[in-house]
Amino acid sequence: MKITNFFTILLLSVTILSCSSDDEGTESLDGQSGNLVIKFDNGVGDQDFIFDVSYNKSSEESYKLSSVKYLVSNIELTNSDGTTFLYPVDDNAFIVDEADANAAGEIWITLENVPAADYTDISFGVGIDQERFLKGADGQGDLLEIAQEKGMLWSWATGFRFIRLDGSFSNSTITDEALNIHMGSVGTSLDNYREVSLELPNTVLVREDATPELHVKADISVVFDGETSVVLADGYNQVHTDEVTTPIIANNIMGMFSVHHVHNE
Amino acid sequence: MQNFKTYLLLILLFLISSSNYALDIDPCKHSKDIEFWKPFCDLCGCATSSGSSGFGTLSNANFIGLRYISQSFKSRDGIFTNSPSSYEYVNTYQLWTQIPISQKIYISASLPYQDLKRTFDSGAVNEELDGFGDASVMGWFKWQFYKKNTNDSIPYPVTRPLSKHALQIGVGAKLPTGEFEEQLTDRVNPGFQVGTGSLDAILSLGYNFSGDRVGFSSIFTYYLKGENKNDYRYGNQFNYTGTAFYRIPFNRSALTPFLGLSGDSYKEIEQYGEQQADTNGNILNGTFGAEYATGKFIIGANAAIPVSQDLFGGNVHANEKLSFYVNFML
Repeated sequence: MKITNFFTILLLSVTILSCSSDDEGTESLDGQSGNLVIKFDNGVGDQDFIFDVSYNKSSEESYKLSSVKYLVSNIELTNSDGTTFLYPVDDNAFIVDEADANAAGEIWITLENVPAADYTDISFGVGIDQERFLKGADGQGDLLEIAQEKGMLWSWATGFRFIRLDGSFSNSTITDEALNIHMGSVGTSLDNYREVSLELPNTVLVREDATPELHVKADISVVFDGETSVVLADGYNQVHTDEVTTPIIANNIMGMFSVHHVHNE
Repeated sequence: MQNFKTYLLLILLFLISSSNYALDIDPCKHSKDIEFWKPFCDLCGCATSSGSSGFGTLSNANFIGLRYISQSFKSRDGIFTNSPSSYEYVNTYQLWTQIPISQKIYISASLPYQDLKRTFDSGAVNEELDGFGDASVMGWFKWQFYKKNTNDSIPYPVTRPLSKHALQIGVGAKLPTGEFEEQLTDRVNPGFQVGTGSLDAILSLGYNFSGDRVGFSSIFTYYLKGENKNDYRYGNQFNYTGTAFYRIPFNRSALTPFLGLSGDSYKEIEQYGEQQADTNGNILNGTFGAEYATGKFIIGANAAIPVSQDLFGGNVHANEKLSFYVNFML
């Protein structure tokens, strides 16, 4: 009898507790839009990147950097139903500069008016593609001026720098020799634009009233030790417009990014 | 009469559960006043806080009392191994009680007031949060065993002597009386909340052995966590506690030191039905303390020292937990 009573309580409690609300998920997202924040967080391996700190790389070399900048464009999101959303091209190029990082070491890009949807993948380009370059200096909008300010532009004919690392490197015989990685496409003759596609660890829910955050980790060490491990002393301390070294750095950079986690609100 | 009381308990449990459903906390209220904390992002984590700090005293007597719990955590404030740390300080002031319904059925309940503080290595502005936390109510059924009648000299005993063993089964709920602030999950340690915002089921099994001087008490509890209004669901939690105690009687009082182990194991947090990486974990504590009983009062102190832990992929480190309580026996 007592046991019967007890199980009645148990049953009732479980019944009450299983009354969760399942009324979401049916609302239509048509016509809704929201913001999405992409946070770039630069690191070296599992360490947070800090200016002028010496980092070891392969081939018994080390490097220190005083500027870390790269150019990201053509951000595109893939919806859970497979359709894609390309952020409006005219506003879809950003310079990520470590010097602009907040107290937490993050550089934020805020995408506005993103259609409300459940996004599962993100892709973006590192650098400027030929199509955008061929719009000419006048077709670049604000980017031209910003790039000039940030030192991310050669002469117009040569084009944009896609990544800019300045600092010095050392090995057993060399100490603090100049290191300048200024990689980009060279006009229309050498195309170093590369695309990166990343799967999101959790679905990102963009909503009218919710601004999710996507935390991207960028591993600077991959620039030197990625698909190809380069030896700085063998000419990779100065990478500018060379047709051999720049594509190797461009390919390495493709593997530099990962989505560490996402925050939904 | 016995049945009536059981139903009373049943109705009570039901009322408490359903009334809290009706008590809607505005889901949009949370984000505005804490907007300025936003620029500091980290991982998502779990409720290591005080929801699960045990139910009663050693003696299993009925009481009403006040308990203070102090605990702190160190959490990684970023995604890198050399990211700075944040420090969470959790102070809980808890009203707790155990009330008899019948000889075999009793209710335990607690209402915490949470006072939380977080500081940052990065020099970010300290965060402070206080308010009522999540109340819990549990109904317990106690199985008191009797001594076997091995002695034939008493053929019809009026009352059979009690054995030293007892079992308790408890069923209850943790109610969303504390406010859950969704923005705060944007941190390494999402246990930094006054409440989880969810209705959770609590299932408990306890075993007691009480000798004249020596006793042992153990309790296994499973927290089935519900989803809150922000589609956020803390991971289910399993808590186990074993405590051995020794009673030193004095003229009109008694001191009971105790020593034991306690541990928790947490599953992953889910948001919008998806598991969040690195939000599970477990911790094992060594516990020690003492209770002093005099007249109708019991004064107790308890310390839990982490022996091993792996919380949120190692991103959160729990420090020792201290609690003090004063109970008035009913």
